[in-house]
Amino acid sequence: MAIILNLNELMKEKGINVGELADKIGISPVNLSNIKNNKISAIRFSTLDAICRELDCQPGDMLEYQVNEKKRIIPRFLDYTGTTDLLLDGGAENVKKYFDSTIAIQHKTGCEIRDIMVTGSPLESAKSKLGRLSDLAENYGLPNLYDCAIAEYCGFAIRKDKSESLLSIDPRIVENRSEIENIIKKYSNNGEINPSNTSYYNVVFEDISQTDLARVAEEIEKLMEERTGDKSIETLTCYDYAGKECDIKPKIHTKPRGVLMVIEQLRNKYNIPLVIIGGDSQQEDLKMYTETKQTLSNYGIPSVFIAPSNIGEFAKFDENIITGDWENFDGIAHCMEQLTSRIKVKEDGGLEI
Amino acid sequence: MKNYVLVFEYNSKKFMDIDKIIVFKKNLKTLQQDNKNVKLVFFGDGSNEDLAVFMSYFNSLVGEKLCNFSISSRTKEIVVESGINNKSIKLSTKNAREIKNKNFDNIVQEYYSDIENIEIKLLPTKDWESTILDL
Repeated sequence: MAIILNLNELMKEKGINVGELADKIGISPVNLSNIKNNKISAIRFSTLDAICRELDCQPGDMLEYQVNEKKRIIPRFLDYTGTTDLLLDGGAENVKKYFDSTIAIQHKTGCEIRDIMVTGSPLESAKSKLGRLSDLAENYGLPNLYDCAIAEYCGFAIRKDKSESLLSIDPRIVENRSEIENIIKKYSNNGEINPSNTSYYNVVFEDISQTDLARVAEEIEKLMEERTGDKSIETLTCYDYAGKECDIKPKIHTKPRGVLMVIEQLRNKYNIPLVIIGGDSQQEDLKMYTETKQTLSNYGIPSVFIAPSNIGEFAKFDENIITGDWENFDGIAHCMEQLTSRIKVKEDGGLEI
Repeated sequence: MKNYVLVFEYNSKKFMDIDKIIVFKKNLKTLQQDNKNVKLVFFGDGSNEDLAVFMSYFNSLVGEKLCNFSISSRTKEIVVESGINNKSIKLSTKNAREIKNKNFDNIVQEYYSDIENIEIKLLPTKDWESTILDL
């Protein structure tokens, strides 16, 4: 709920600008501008009195009480490789189809869709991807579609303004970060960690031997076991045959944690009648759905999983899993079209599938 | 076959436009039917990551690998597009000086040394999707 000042409209009617009115009522143009733009939480009677005198109006002409309802949004958490990458590979026409299906769902539900890309990319790369996707969507009239992303292995949520906040990482890794970095530095060929490729030990090495890469993983695992007594904090390594692009990252399942933490933040600001989760991996992406479904349900939020590619038998176990035509690039747009026809808007504005 | 290398200033907001890309694809087809081969190079104030992602997205959306490298005036490096493994090459002092004057001939000729009869054109970003029809 809010008290709104309609000073802007009154000033337009009277044909007076901020500088002139500020001068007449004896306050600074900056303060008057704040009043005009509703950036204040209180106003003096003497100021109100002066404004009414100069604009020849009543306080009631200026003040309005508005019921301030939370904006309705549908967050769509999408595994990057299994959905967005595939979508882009299908070309501009395919993306157009996807944006059109997004607009159709927005019209049907009266909600704004927010795509939250969940990516394993290093932080800087994730920020660049979010920026380019955001440009694409903005140019198509969807300015808020790509506002936020989760860099899953890095444990960060990032915004399109490139700000970041620590999100979904195992706190035990955070506590031991400096020592993990020391291990990595020992084996990194130039002795330094490139910040653009580094997060909570998501590192790309260049020119490292396979044996050394295995040693890094072993040492990190040993350190974590010593510090926590937990043997399950495993490290994942990926070695290419030429030894040029190897990476190492925590093998913890951060996706469900990331989804729930972002939902927590969004619920403070928005009304969320539905959550869409999507991806192509039976293990990781489907877990994003199955491990968050109950919590979301406890909040009264239904959820649905969209699988643009084949997730096999898993699709049969849950009626809220929608699969696309996985042999084509337009799988995700196909899923969204199916979802649009299945969504029902209830009398109270809630959504059901 | 006539070979063109078209150089544009990097501007994600202007080029990441689905409707314009669809028009560009149509125009590109017309050019290709006229035996004109086109490659694009982007230059400008972006990080290597920004340029790499931009190139990769642009090529995917167009459906052809038209852009093989970009030039970052911020890092003074050439960013080569090769899927997820983007590489960068430091510009020579001479080439770094030349890009300041928006002269890209040397860099383009060096990169496309295997292609004969290249015409290099620096084009404006305004109406970029249609200007290629003037070639």
